[in-house]
Amino acid sequence: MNSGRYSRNMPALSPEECAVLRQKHVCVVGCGGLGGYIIEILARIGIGALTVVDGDVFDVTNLNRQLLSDETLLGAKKAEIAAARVSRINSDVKITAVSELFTAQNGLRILEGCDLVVDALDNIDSRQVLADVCAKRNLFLVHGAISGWFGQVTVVAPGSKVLDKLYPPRAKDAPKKGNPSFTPAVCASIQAAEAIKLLCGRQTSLLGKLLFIDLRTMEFIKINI
Amino acid sequence: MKVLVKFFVFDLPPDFADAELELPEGSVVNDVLEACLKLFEQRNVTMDVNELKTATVMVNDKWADVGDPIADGDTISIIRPMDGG
Repeated sequence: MNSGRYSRNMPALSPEECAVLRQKHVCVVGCGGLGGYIIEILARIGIGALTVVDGDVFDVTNLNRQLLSDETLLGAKKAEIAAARVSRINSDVKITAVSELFTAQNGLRILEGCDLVVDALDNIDSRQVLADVCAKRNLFLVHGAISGWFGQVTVVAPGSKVLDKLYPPRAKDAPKKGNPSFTPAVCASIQAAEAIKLLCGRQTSLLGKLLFIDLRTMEFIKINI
Repeated sequence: MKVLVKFFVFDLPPDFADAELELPEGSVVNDVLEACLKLFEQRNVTMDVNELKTATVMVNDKWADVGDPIADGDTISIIRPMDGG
């Protein structure tokens, strides 16, 4: 590894924090709109190991926003494409691709050895399964979700049931608002920043707080949860 | 009784502020949601009613269900669920 590789991480991150990141293993569940950017950021900053999980393949509706997609990759497995890109960006990163849907059955195995999990999924049921498995593994989860011009991010402590409260059963019928290209990039960057703080042992700003992002008005509002 | 209603991540007009609603004694969270639908009509806000009916609600920063009672002076936070990625 070139000694200058991480020089621009500093002094925002200390050399000690950069060294800590190189010892950490993060699982990003979902390699779509949010996951593509999150994986990119974590690979470039120098996380030691990444497990990237997605059971889906790229289709034409992904092209408006998903960083990992392009016209030559329609039909390709998202997790495998993510892993290949990470290897090209930063060969220091130990990358594992899991081309399966994350479920209660395979989740414990997938998260084995991880230090932190990032929620980049696109549906409520899978997010709640992920939070349950994180609780069983005693892992913090950095949650993010988008809809239209809006996004939200929070840090979920293991077993806190935040996602069960945030998404009551009726929420599954909420109308969709689309996912334009700019929204996942913002939300994913905030999730990645929180993940990096947690991994470095810094205080997270979003434990017990829910951040709302409104890109129409450029208002960022935190509420207590 | 009067309650303060705050809307989070709804696609409302920029000048649409938090609202103070007058409700009968004994009202529950669902009554607040119904009153909000009327409020939107009064202010000529076009919205899919399902956005409100599927919303997550907090009363005074505590998670609440649609059948939970409310009291005079409560702050009701109404959050539009987002699940996209």
